[in-house]
Amino acid sequence: MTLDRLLSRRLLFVLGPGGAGKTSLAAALGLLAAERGRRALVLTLDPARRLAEALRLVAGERVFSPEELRAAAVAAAAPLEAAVFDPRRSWIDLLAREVPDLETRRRLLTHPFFVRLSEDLAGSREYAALAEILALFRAGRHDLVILDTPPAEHGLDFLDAAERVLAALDADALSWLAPLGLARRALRLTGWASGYIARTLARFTGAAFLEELGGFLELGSVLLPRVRERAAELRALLQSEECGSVLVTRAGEGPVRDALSLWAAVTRRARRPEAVVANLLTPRADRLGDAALDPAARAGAERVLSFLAAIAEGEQAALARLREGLPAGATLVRVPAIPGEIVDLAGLARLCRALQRAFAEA
Amino acid sequence: MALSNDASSVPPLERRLQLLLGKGGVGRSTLSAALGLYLSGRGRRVLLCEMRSQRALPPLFGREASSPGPVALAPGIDWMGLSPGLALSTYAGLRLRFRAVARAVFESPRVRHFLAAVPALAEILMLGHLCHLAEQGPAEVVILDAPSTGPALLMLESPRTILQTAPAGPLRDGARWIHEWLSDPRRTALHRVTLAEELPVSESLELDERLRRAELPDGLWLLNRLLPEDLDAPAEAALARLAFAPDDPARQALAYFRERLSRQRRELARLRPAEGRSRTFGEQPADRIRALAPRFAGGAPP
Repeated sequence: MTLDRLLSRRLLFVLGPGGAGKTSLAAALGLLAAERGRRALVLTLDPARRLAEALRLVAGERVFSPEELRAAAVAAAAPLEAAVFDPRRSWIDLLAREVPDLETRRRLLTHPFFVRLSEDLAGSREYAALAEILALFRAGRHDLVILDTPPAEHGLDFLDAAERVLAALDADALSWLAPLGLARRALRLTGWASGYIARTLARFTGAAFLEELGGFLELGSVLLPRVRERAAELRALLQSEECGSVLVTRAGEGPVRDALSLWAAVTRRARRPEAVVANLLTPRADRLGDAALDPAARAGAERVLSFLAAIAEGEQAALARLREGLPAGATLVRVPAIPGEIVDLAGLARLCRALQRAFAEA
Repeated sequence: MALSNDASSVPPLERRLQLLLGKGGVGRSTLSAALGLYLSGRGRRVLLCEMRSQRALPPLFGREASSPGPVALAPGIDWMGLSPGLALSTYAGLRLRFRAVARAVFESPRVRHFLAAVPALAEILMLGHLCHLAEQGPAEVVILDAPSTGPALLMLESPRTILQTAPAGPLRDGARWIHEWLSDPRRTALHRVTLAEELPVSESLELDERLRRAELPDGLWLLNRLLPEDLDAPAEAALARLAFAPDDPARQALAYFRERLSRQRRELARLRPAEGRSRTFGEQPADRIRALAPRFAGGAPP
C-alpha cells in the first residue's frame, strides 16, 4: 500500500487504541493529500488542546490555503480544511435536512430520549457524522474526508452506526410496548408475549419510562424511511473502493492486542484496513561511535542509550507479535517518534516527512 | 491539587471497591493488574473486573478467558468480565428478586435494544453488579479496570441520573443503594491514572474536577510510564561534552530522551497531588506487572 493509493480514497477512517497519535496522523494525512492536490477535510472528535490550536479549531477558522501550507514547508497544491465534529450540531443539521415539519423537529430535539440518543447511544453521533459526510460528498467541495475516530472499540461505532440507529428507532422491534397503551399508531401488537414483557419491564423501570419511550418512537418514526435509505448507502460506501481505513497503534503489548482485534473487527464490517501504522517508536542508537572522547560523559551516555534500547527491544517484541497476527500482505508501517511536540503546522510537516519515509520502507 | 483528606475516611488502598479511571492508553489495565498483585501479596482476596468485550486483564497473567468468569488468574486473584447482560441475569435477578422467567425477558434481543436507549440503564446495571460483588464477597477487595474517561463518567453519574428521572420502584431503590456505595470514602476509592503527557494530564484534571463536583470519593494519583529523572544529568553532560555529528543517531536519541523528560516535568507540575496521595511507575520495556506491583507501597520516583 503506497501513500498515493491510500490518499486516492474519498473517505479514510483512522482507527486505533488510545494514545497512539490518531489525531496527528489524521491531520498529517490531510497535509499529504494537499501536497497531492486533493482537497481534504480532517474531521476530529476530541483533539488535544495544542493540536486544536495548531489546526485553528479553537478559533473556528479552519481552512488553510495552499500558500499558508507552503509557508510551513508543506508543498501544498490544494487547501486543507479541519473541523471538530459536534454531534448535537450534526443532528440538528440532519433533522433540518430530513424532517421538513418544524413542530416535529422541535419536539424531537427537546425530547429527553432524543438528547440521550443523539449524544450517548453508541453509534448515533457517528451516524450523524456519516450522514454529514454523505451530504458533503454531494456538495462536492472535498476530494477526501479523513475521520479521526474515538479510541479502540469506540471507533467501530462508525462502521456500525447506521444499523444501530436503525435498531434503536425501529418501532417494529419494540412492538411489545404496545400493550401499555402507548403510541398505538406507531406500534403494532405482535403476540401474547408482548404484554408480559412490557409489564415485567414496567415493574423494573416504572411505566412512565416506557410511556416516554413510546412517545419518542412515534416522533422518531418519521425519520425511519430516511435512516433505512442512509443505512443502505453507508453499507455500500463502507464496502466500496472509495472507502479505506488506517489502524494506528503504539508498540506495546496491550495496544498491539487492541490493534489486532480492531483489524479483525474492521475486516468483518468493511474492506480490510489499508495499513497498520506502528507509531511513536522509541529512537535507539546501539553504539556511541568514535565522536565520544570524554570517558565520564561517555559512560553516562551509555546508561541513557541502554535504557532507551531496552524500551525499543520491548517495542520490537510487540511489533513481532503484531506482524505475526496480521495476514500476509498486510502493510505494516513503522514511524519513529519525531523530535519535539506536534503543536503547529511545522510539527505536522515533520510528521508528514516521517510518514513518507516509513511508507517508502514498508 | 489537594484531594479531600477526610479524617474519617479509610486509606484508599484499604477500601473494598477500587476503580482505576483515566484516558485510553494510560495503562489502566496494567496498573489494575499490578494493584491486584500488590493487594493479594498483602493477604487480601482480590476480584479484578473489566467491562470491555475484548478482555485485557487475563492476558496480563498469561491467561485467556473464554467465559465472563469468575476465573482464577493467580493465587488470591479472581477475574470477571462484566456486561449489562450478565448484570441483568445475576445482580438484577438476585437483588431485585426477579424470577428466572422474568430474567429471560431481559435477555431477549428485543428488550436489549430498548435497554440501549434508556438513559443510564446499562451503566447502572453494571455498577449495581459491581457494588453487589464488593458487598457480598468472597473477595475482600474488588478492583475495576474502568472504561476510558467519557464512558466512565457517564457510568459514575448514572445513579444520579436515575434518581433524578426514574419513578419509585426497584430501579430507583437500586440507584440509591449504588449511590451510597459509590459516594462513601470508607468503602470506595477512585484512582486517577495518567501519563506525564499533555492530553492525559488535561483529561485527568477535568476528570478530577467532575468527580469532586459530583462529591465522589478520592483515591490515589497513579503516574505511569515515567522516565528516570536521574538519567537527565548524564544525558545533558553527554550532549554538551561529546562531539556528535548532527545526524548521529546517538545524539538524536539523547536529545529525544531529554526532551521527553522536560515535558514530563512540565506535566507533573500541573498535577501536584497532595502529600502521600500519588504513586509513580517507571517506563517498562513490557507490561511487567510483577515489577510494578511493589510501587503501590509508595516511595521516591523510579
